[in-house]
Amino acid sequence: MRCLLAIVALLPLLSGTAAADEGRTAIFQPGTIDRPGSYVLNRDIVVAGGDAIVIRASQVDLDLNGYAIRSTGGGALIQIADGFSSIRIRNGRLLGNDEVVAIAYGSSEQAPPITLRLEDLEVDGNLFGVFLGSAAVLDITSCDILRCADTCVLSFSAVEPTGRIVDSRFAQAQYNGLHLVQGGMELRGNIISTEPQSYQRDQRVGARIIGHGGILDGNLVASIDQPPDRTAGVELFASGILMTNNVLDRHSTGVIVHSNGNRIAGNVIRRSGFNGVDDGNGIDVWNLPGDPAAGNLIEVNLIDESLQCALNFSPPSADNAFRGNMRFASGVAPVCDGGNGNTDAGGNL
Amino acid sequence: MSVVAGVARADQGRIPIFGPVTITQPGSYVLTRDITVSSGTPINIQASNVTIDLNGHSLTNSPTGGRLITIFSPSTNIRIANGRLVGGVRGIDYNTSTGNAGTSVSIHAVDFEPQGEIAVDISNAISFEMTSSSITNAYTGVLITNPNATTDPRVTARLVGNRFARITHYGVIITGMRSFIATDNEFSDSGLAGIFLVMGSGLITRNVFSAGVALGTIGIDLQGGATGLVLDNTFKGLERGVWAMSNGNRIAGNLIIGPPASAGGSPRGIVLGASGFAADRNLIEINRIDMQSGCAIQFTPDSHDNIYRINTLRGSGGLAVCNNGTGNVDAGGNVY
Repeated sequence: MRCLLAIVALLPLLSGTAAADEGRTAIFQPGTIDRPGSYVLNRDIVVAGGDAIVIRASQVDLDLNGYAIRSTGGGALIQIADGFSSIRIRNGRLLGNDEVVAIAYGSSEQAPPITLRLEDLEVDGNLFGVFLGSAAVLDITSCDILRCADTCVLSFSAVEPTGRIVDSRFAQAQYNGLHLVQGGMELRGNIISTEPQSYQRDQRVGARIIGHGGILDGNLVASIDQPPDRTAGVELFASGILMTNNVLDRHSTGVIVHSNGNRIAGNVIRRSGFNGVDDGNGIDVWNLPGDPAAGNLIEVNLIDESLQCALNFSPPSADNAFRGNMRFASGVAPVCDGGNGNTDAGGNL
Repeated sequence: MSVVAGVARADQGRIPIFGPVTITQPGSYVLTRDITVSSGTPINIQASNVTIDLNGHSLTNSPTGGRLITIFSPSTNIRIANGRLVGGVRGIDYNTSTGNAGTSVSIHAVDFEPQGEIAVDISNAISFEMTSSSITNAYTGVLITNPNATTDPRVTARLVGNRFARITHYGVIITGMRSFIATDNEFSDSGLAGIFLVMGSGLITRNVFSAGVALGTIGIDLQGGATGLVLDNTFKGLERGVWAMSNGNRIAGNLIIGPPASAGGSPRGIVLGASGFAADRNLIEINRIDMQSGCAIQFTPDSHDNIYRINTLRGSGGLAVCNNGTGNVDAGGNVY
């Protein structure tokens, strides 16, 4: 009898689930996960609107099992309720439309920050691929997030979260590919592309990094010629970013640096300023109010075919150093220095 | 299930495949036994959003048989993983005979051997990803093409952690993809080239290219406006390590060891340009090139305004730098 009670207690946690083999709980229709555990989708789920799967528990592992969750209306495909964390979602497809958020968490930045891990997902045709109002740890591995009507991954937080985004693709973002308030973040081996429409927004960016610290290494960031909107490959708002060995191709501006103490080295930055607007700088060190854009080291980059300047220091950027960079075919000048104390440390060609 | 012949509902809802099938519905499929045919195609895909787990099993066709998996246009979002594709003329083929819609294909942990023509042929790829797989004994390993590289930013390809061995023609041909990443792959005994990249932006890092008993040809061949970063790769025994016929590449941190002098030919470490194919404004730095014969770096007459610096070229039996171009600059720090 005691055994029977235990079995009953493990039985369906939501309408549309049943015990599957390997002890995992099968999901076969929309519903709510309200207990920790390992769940597996066993068929495609299609909803006309609203949230398809709601997670109201921590320590949840959701295996989409090669299947898809699709919405023809609005809402979220997977909505994680405030206060629940340690969520892992993997191995399937999340298919939406311009009104759908594929994976959503956090009603505000004051929500308890979440730890979220995403692996081997195809996320296609949503307003946002991942929208986190409050993140603590965000790991994205081997995911394909494309055709984002706004931003593919948008992560806010009142704290500075950490995490890794590796070996993934963020393609055809209409606004930003990645917008991260992540500190100590690693971005490696990703392909990121933007496809700007004429929304008359501000700069569209492949990766906008607002958190302090972190590494961007070995990513490929590309846009296309589509005037009049401006684009940028990478935009750094926070300090202490190591940006190495990336390829940035065909943006209005390759890299925009608003912050201090970054090292930007070994990158290939090409064809900047061919989007029909007058930016056209390879690397643009450009202060914002209260942030002087100082103390950055820019070295050993190859900057080719910039419509304006390969390196541009806007006033009052200060005390930056550049050395060993190769700057070819710049329309105005290799270096346009309107700042203070920016130093040519030698070896530039 | 009535969606296809030869399938029924499996555990965890995955649909088992135990015989030749045509998949006409989206879903998650799993192979439950090896399938062998002597002609035709064992798996045809005529639906989008299809996942096939080969589940450690094999699809086998006769050497002169057809394909092993054919994806019919306009099917897209296809994932194939975890098994073996043996024989046939092609392993995975995207057939555009009914139209020319683009497709997205992902391959993970699949071993191909041998295919008489092309192991993977995706003729109009929107996106292509291949990871942790191997291709052995094929005419061409992977052929990925798209005509919209300059207008469609989705058009991307990634190859990570794969092995290409004994390929008669090209290990990988990527033409017309907007963005291309190749990392941590191994190429051995590719008859013409390991990677042949035409158009688009590339990031080619940490790959190993080697020749066996025969003199190999080219490690990386960049043409037709293909540009990017060639970083930290290893080349051993090839007639050409990197051959760039495009502009604005950074070729850095590579280790290039030439073939033995007894292999003959005219080996080169890095070659810029070719007759009628310009190579301008490239940066060649921090490479270690050791050629027992031939030139470590060769600038052809069609190369202009390239820079080389901080390369270690010592040990080259021929010339360290053969400069027949114009405006190419030794920027210092090279060790001869």
